[in-house]
Formats: sequence, structure tokens, C-alpha cells
Amino acid sequence: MGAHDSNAFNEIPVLVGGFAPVAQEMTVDLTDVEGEIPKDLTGMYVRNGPNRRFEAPGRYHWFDGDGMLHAVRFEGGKAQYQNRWVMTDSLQEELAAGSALWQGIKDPPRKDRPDMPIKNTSNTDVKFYAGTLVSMWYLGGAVYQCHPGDLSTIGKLDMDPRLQGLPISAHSKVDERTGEFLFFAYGKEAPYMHYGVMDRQGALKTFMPVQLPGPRLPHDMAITPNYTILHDLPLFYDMDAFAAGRHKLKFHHTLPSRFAVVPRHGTPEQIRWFEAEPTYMYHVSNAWEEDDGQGGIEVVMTGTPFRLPTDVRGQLDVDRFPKMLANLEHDFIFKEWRFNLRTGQTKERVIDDIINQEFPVINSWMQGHKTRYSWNVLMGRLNRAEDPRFCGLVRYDLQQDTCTTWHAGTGKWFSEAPFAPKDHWKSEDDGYLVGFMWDDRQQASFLSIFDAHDISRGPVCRIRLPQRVPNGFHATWVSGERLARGY
Amino acid sequence: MRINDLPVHDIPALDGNNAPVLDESVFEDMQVIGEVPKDLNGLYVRNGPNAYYPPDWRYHAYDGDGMIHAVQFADGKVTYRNRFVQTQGLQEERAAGHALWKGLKEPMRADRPDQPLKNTANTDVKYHAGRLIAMWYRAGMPYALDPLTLETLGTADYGGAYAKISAHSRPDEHTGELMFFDYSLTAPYMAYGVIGPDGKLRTKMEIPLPGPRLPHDMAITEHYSILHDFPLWPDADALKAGRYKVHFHADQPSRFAVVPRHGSASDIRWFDAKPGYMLHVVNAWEEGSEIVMVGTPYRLHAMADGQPDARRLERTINQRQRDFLLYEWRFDLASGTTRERVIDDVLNSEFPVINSAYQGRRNRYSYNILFPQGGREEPRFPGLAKYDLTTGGYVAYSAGPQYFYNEPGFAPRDNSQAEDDGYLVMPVWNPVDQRSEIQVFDCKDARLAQGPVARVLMPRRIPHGFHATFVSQRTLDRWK
Repeated sequence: MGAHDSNAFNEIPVLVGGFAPVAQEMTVDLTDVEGEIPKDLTGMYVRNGPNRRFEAPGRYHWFDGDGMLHAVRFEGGKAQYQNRWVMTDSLQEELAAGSALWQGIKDPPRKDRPDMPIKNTSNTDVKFYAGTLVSMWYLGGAVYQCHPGDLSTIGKLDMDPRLQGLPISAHSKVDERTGEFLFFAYGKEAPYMHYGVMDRQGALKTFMPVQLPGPRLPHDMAITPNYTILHDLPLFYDMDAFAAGRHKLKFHHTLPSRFAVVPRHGTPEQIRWFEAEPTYMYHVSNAWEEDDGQGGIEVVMTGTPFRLPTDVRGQLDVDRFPKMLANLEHDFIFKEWRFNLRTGQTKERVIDDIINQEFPVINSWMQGHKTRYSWNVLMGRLNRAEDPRFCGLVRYDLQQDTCTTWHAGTGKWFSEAPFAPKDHWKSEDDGYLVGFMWDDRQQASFLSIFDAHDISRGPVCRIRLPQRVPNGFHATWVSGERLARGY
Repeated sequence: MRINDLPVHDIPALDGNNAPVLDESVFEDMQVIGEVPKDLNGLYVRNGPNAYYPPDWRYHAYDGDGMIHAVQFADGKVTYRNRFVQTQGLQEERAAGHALWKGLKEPMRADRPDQPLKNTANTDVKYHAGRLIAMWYRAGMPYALDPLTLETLGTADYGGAYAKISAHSRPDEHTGELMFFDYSLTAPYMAYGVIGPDGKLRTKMEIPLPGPRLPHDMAITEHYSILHDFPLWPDADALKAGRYKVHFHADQPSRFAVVPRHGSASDIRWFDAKPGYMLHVVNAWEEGSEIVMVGTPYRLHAMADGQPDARRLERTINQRQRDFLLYEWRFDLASGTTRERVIDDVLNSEFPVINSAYQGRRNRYSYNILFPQGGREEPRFPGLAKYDLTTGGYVAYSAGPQYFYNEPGFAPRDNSQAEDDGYLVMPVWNPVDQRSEIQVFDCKDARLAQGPVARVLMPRRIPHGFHATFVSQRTLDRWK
């Protein structure tokens, strides 16, 4: 059931319906409001996502599209929508040529462009750093800066010469208490990973190699005030194929997951490696430091790893795991790791394996500090290959150890919904969740605002958007206070 | 081997909170976290397996003797009571001083053609005309119990109305009738009937099927009953060889018999639908010329070529994995056609419960048990969801993945003003404190997501079990 309804394999799911790209850039005051826009909500919501400008020959993958920022600004109960492409170097080249010059990740990279064999679309995440929106790409590359005022692209983030050509990963972190930009970069040559910190003026304060046993595919990192946690997970290349020049993913289930805990401004010698059960994870929810009760420090990290796929006998299905990633098959659990700096031991526990969810957000001021809440996107099962579904919202309360879920029914597609604190907020969940929602039945996009304390009531406000906002990736909330402060 | 054997597999069915309890007790004045609402009045009853004699056979979770756990709510006071269903099998065993039957995993008793496997009456329990009726999933003679003392009153044979019925017979609390079905190995393979509020057989008819089937549930509306013929049945050759193997026939339709509640065999209207298999119905009702039925069928996965993956469904059923979605069928009596749709396939949920006053009437809310997203593992019942059937939207709640929520009962608030104006009541296994609790959730709007309003801490475990029912004080009073 359900399965019968969708046999349209001739279509590319991630280019139709709520996924189809939009052609127009616009700035529109929003007036079609159900409910009331909170008056104590000041700042901007901005979301990145793929939106291809030129049709390219070959096989499209959801991750291929050119980055486009969609923003909604709030002030005094009013809202304005704006969208713009990130004017990457490659998009400018294509615009000059009037056609696509790169194909996507399912097709061979450009051999004639060693500087950019795959187009850096800057389509994945967006953060607020050094007074600008910084747009980043999941495979790692130059970081683009955009004006928060009109989303226009300023250019590539000007970086220390030591970072020239270093592919900055999409999930670099901004510590909004210090204004620092903490990043990692990974590559196919030793040492395979670098980690660094820029201060809020852009000066490179810390930079170090992180020696890995081989090429890896880390997607995210975690930070606490004093430590940074970097990931070495055993889902990476089949090394025989890699030696032959092919990129084939393999789950190396006999290898542990490894996590590097390093002082934020430390040196390579200070890296402490912790081993854990083999897994693969995209996104971290948060990390923090705790006293272990015996004079030691425990670094705690929470995140949403894949549920390991099992075969019909209930055994780990090693071969299926990499296919899940390729197929955009989403099946995740919520998990906690504890790295004890005194004992060197790792403890891990499953927080939840009932609800399939990902794209965790927290109150960003609390990044690095112990949080009680994580708000994640509810994920649906594939109806057909490469047809991911973001179905609703989940709220975890780690103090009560409970989970509440809200779902508006089928045919609705949500976005990562960052936490937007109320002006003069007092407690961790004193604010809203703000996110886009595509309604397939109404064929319209909405901006939804939820009470972060009680998502179960559904959106307290829904604003109809002037055009479809294609389903996309990561988002951030930049409060009015942060916009004014510049970090 | 009988046709209606369900597939069975190894499970540690006697460990942890699956272990039986042997005392028959009454508990009152338990410690409560929160407050038991004073406008919650009535009786929650739950059935489940609870082996009287320590099994010396390869025990299966379905083998245990039926035990009824009842929780009476009266003006904020909670009284718990539990008793075995004194089935004929259990009484024979107690007279002998040891077990006389083994379980599903062992050979059946060839010397007892009347009862090759013990009818434990351990599966469902309903309230009909002043008595609790305990029923068995493989179809057997049901037993009647006193709702207040839980004393077994004998078999509920209604003067020989039938020799056996399925576990999921359905009472209509508005008319006091009990709609039942039975299925068997021999033609015509299915029967349907109605017992009146006076305990007399009012209607009975044969439902001829093309062959032996494995229907698990039925549905009723105000004027119709819906019987199920899903394209899943045991392999005939394997059966002849003494083996049991179900086959899903993805090239055959699901078929539903819509028959007037008090009709006759000639009134049966058959409707074809997409192939599938379902255990439990949420509800059914009449809407214009359509009969609407909502339930929680197994999710049928597609293979790479888009065709349904029959082997995977068979495995899921054989291995007792939980992989369900919420689904709606519409049978148009005017045109004879079926429309069907997925209401929701995001959550994996089953054991649907509704406000029983809406049984057979159009309703909006279903309260389901959440399951993890699949995989082969021991059964967990780790959360609750309140579905809005009109949108497929829901709110869900869990206190943690190792909590075990039993099938709840929906308890209407005194002077209830709306379908969801009431409480969900159920025993919950708290893995942190290693104890059972009776938990009460407010169902109105999205309040389920706020967690329990009352947690009654039990002095003794209530083992995990199967189906439950809630009988409102009003219904209890009506049959005093």
C-alpha cells in the first residue's frame, strides 16, 4: 500500500513538486497571515538549499543544485520574504557562458578543472559570522559571504593564506558568545583533516592538522567552550576501489567510530581520541562539558546517527548502509556519547530509536552548553527512491527524557526549523521554531511559526509565501540582537 | 495442524515484565504522582497471557493462560484487581495439578480433537450486556466474567449460538449487540453473527470464501458489518506436509464483505481492493453511499520494479515484525467500487483505540501504540500517538524507548462534550524504576503530548499483555 501509488520512476523526484527550482529572485512584504506574527520576534530566518540555475546533461542529484538563500525577516509583527542565489564563482561562470558547465555528483567530475572538479554550489548550510551570512557546501570548499540586508553575495570569505584552497566543510560552527568561527576541512590526502578557529575579525587563531588513518567523510563537528569534537566514522571509501581511482562507499563495520576531543585552541599533540560503536552520522545536536563526579571532565555529545540497517535475520546489513546514503533513505536514531577525559572511556546510549528524525536544532546561544531541548525534523520513509520526506517536528526533553511529535498530515514538507528566541528571552525554550513548509495539496509554501515550548499545538502562525520555496537543507535564525552586534 | 495457526518464533516471553504473576489481588490506595481526575469513572480491563504452571515446554508469548487486569476509577479513587480466566483447560490442569497442554511450538494434543491447543481466552476482552467477554486469537469459545469481581461465570455460548468465535468480535454499546465472526479450515470458511442484548442469537450467516483465510478482525457501522478476506493464507502443500507457512498472493485483491448487520448471505456485497494484510481495524462508518473503514494494515514495500514485495511482507508477518501504516478504504454501495488511500505512513503504529461510543459512527481520532521503525527485535510498545484521521496529522508522546505502553482504553470524561474529551488509561512498564504504573493521559486537543496527568505506582508488576477495553460508568450502570 502506498508503494503502489508511485511508480513514476521516469521522473526525478527531487526536481518536481516541492523540489522544483524557482527562477525568480524577489523581495515581498508578507500579508497573508493565519494567526498572528509574534511581536516579540525580531530577526531573520534564512535557509539554504539547492536550486539549479541551468539544466545540466546527466543525472541530477538533490545535492547538485546551486545554492539559494531564502530569508524571512521579522520585526514588530511584520514579515518580509526575500530569496537570492549565492553568486558563486561557478554560477558566475555559467551565467557568463549561458549554460551549465558542470554536471552533478552522479556524473564524472571535470578533469580540466583541478581547482573545481565538482561545482562548489555553496548550497548546504548558512550561518551568521563577522556581520555577514556565510554560506557553505557539504563537500567543502570556499565559504561565501552574503549581506544580511539584501542577501547579495559579497564574495568568498577572505581567509588567512595558510587556508588557501582548503575546503571548509559545510558544518562549521559559529560560537555566538565569542563570535569565533570554528571549522574543519577534510580531503583525500594526508593528514586528511584540518581544524581551525578564526576570531570574529577573521584572524586565524588556531589551525592544526588532524591526522586520520585515511580519507574519511566527516559531515559535522561539535563544540564546547573548551573543546572541539571531530569525527572519524567508519563509513568511507572502499579503499580498493579508491586505489583504482573510483569513489565507492563502504561501511567498515569492524572499525570503531573515532572522535577527536581537542582543546579549542589546542595543538595536535593535545588531541584525545575516543572510540565508540561503528556508525555514521550527519548532524550533531549539541555538545557540552560535565563534571564526572570524580574530578574529571566528561564531554557529552548528542546527535542523530543512522539506525544501522539489518537484514532479514536481524544482522547488520553492511552492504545496504552505503546505499541508504546514496538513495537518500532516511532512518535515524537520537543518541548520546560521553567522552570521559579522566578515564579515556566512551559511554554511549540511545536516547530514542522510535521516532525517525534528523536536522536537530537547539537554542543557538546554548551551543556548547548543556541543553535540555532538541527540536528535530520528523522524517518519513521513502515512497520511492530518492524521494526524501521531512514530515513534521519532534521535541526532545532530555531532562524528562521524553519525546513529543507533531505531524500535520501527509503531503506537507517541512524544513529545518531553527529556534528563534523571543526578544528578552529567559529560559532555554522561551521562543519559537521558524521554518518553511510546502503544502502539496494547496501547492503553496508557508512560513510556519511554532511555540517551541509546545509544538504539539501546531503552528501558532502560518504565513503564505509569494512563491514556492523549494525543499532545502539547513537554516539559521539570526536575532535582531545578533544582527546589531555583528556576531 | 490447524489452519488458523499463526506463525510462531522464539522470543524470551517469560523474562522481565513478560514473566507471569501468580497472585490474584486487590490493590487500593496506591501512591499517585499527579492527580487521578475525579471525572474519570469506569472500568479499564486488559487481557493477556500469564502461564499458571511454569512452562516446561518451548514457551511462546501467546501460550499463557488468560489473566484479566482491571482498574476501577471512582471519583479519584483507583482499585486494581486481577484474576485468571478460569477456562476449561486451566480447570482441568488445576485438577491434575500440572499442565496438560503445551504451546504453539510443540505438537498439539491428538487426544483432544475438541481442544488440540488450550483455549486460553487470553487475547481480547470486551464488555457485552453486563458481562466481560474474554476471547482467544485463534478463535475459541469465549468466557464471561463478572466485571466487578472478575469471577469467571462460564463460557459465553449464548445458548449454543456458536462453537467458537474470533478474538476480535465487536460490541455496539448503543444497541447492546455483539457482532462476531468465526473462520475455519472447511467451507464455507467463515461465519458471521449477532448476539442481542438479551443474550439471544439474532443473526447468523455463512460468509463463503474461496478458501481458508486468516482474518483477524472485523468492522461494524450502524447498519453494516465488514468481514475481511485478505490474500494471505497458508501454503496448502506445506500444510499437507505438516508444516505451516503463510503465503501472500500479491496478484490477488483484498476482498471485503459488506453485509447488513441483520442481513442474510444473499445480502453480502463483495468489494475488491489492493492486496494487503491487516490485523486491526480502527473504526468504520457510513458516509452517504459509502462505507468507510480505517485500519492499520502492514506496509507493503515496493520492489525495484515498483511491484509489491510479497516475500518481504511474509517475512514481516512470520517474524512478528511491526511495520504498519494508517489506511482508509471506502466501499461505495451505489457503484460497487472501492476507493482507498494512505492516511499516514510516517509513523509505525498499531493497536488502535477509539472512543467506544463512536464505534460504527464517524469519528476523527485514533489512539495508537507507536513502534520503532522496523527491524527484527523483541516487541516494544514504546509510545502513544493521537491521530487525526481527517488529516493524518498526529501528536505523539514517549517517555523513552524502553517504556512499554499497553493498549489503552479511552475513558470519556463525565459529561464528555467532544469525541476527544476524555482520558487514555493503561498499564505502563517503567524501565527506570522497574515497576508497573497505571497512567492516565488527558486526550483533549494536543494534551496527550504533555505526558501523563496521573501515574499510579503499582505495588506489583502487571505483565505486558494484549488487548483492553474501557467501560464507562454510564455503560456499567446501564447493565446493573
